Amino acid sequence: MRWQVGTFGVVLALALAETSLLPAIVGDGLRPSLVLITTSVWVALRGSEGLLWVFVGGFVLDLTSNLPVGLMSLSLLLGNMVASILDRAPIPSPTVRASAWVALVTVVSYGLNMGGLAISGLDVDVVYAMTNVILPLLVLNPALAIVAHGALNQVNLRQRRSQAGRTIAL
Amino acid sequence: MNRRTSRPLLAPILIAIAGIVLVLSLSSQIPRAAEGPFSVVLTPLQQLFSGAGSAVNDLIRSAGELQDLRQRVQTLQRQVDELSIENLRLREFQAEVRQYRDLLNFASQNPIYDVVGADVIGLSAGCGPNDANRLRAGVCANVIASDPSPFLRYLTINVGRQHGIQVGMPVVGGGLGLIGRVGQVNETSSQVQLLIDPNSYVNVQVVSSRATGTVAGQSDGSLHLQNVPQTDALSVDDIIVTSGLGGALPPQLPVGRVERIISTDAELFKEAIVRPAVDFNRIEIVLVITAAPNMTTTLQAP
Repeated sequence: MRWQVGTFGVVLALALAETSLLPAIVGDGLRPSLVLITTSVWVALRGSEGLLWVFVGGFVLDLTSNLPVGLMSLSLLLGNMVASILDRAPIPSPTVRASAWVALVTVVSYGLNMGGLAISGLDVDVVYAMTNVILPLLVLNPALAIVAHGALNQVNLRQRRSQAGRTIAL
Repeated sequence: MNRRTSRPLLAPILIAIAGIVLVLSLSSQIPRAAEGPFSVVLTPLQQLFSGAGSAVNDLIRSAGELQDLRQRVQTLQRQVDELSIENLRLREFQAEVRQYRDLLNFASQNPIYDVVGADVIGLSAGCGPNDANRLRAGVCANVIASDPSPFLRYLTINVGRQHGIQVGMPVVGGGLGLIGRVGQVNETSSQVQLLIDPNSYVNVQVVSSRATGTVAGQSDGSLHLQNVPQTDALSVDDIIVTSGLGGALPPQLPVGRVERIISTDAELFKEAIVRPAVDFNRIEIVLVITAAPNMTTTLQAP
């Protein structure tokens, strides 16, 4: 239970950093999708169990957004579902795999975001969105995913050891 | 790979939940999240993170500017010397102007005399900035968050329904230029739709020609002036202000300056790119106008 509360705290902190801390530092410039990167790397490491945190992270972003509620969480979930095709891809390095995973999630989830906006009747400049948002994020997010993978892999290994220890004790 | 967990039902369940919430949200059966009770919890946290971000930003900027500071001090010292001399000259002029004013007052109080330059008295009786402050009721607010979607241009400010904020109220900042309108309101915070949001449209007027038009936000952060009749004059560097048409916004709020005219004479309406009056990257404190002359009491959502 403590693990879940702690993880929720981290996801909430990342969402707040993405929406409040980074805008205060970089202004209107390009901001990395911290929630997307972290939760997607976690799914790449842990499999479908990580999807719960994708949902939670997306929902927290929904709470701070003017997009229709549910769009962020749905697009992140579907992005990770699409990225799961990498499970069958022969990528030897887990770090490269996590980075490619985040790249796929970035493309799919922001594409779905744009689609959701269009369905809501809001204007989306597709060319601008492609050249100034999605393409730069396609470089920035996977690059940061490498760092995130390094840190989250340690957390994952520690948790695995702890779970194995509990199993042996039982 | 064999260590990764597989819960085949989890993904469909979560997607179904998110899909149902989205459908309900699109059919307006549940309010946007920013209007809900979660915002009461999130607003103080957003303020905390925004404050931390500002502090980091200040630190980075201070370090970067340290090298320039010495040179700037020397330059400023020279300017202070020059301005001190200029100030002395201006004081002399002020004394002179006082004398002229006394003369003109004398002229107005004695209309039987023939005097020249009576329009100067008219100018001195005009509206000053203090009148504007008196007519407008404003609420000051801090910017605490931006929208996580890169396709929307919204800011979150730390005043809401409790402070008398309503949807549609104009928001000014950065030298009192218009930055946008309140898009959503909750108890303690509000979402401001910026002028540069692609779904923002504002009725405007060209100051020099009095031509009216519409300014629409652009994804690249500029403004698109459109619907200006071809017969009206429009040129580069023309100042654009709100027209007040429709009553949603008070007139004469600075919007920007014409940067480039993009239409041709063959088109029905003139169009131009407008440089906003406000630097949207540097908005930290804003003023929400809650009442103003020529602004309808029932405000419309942007």
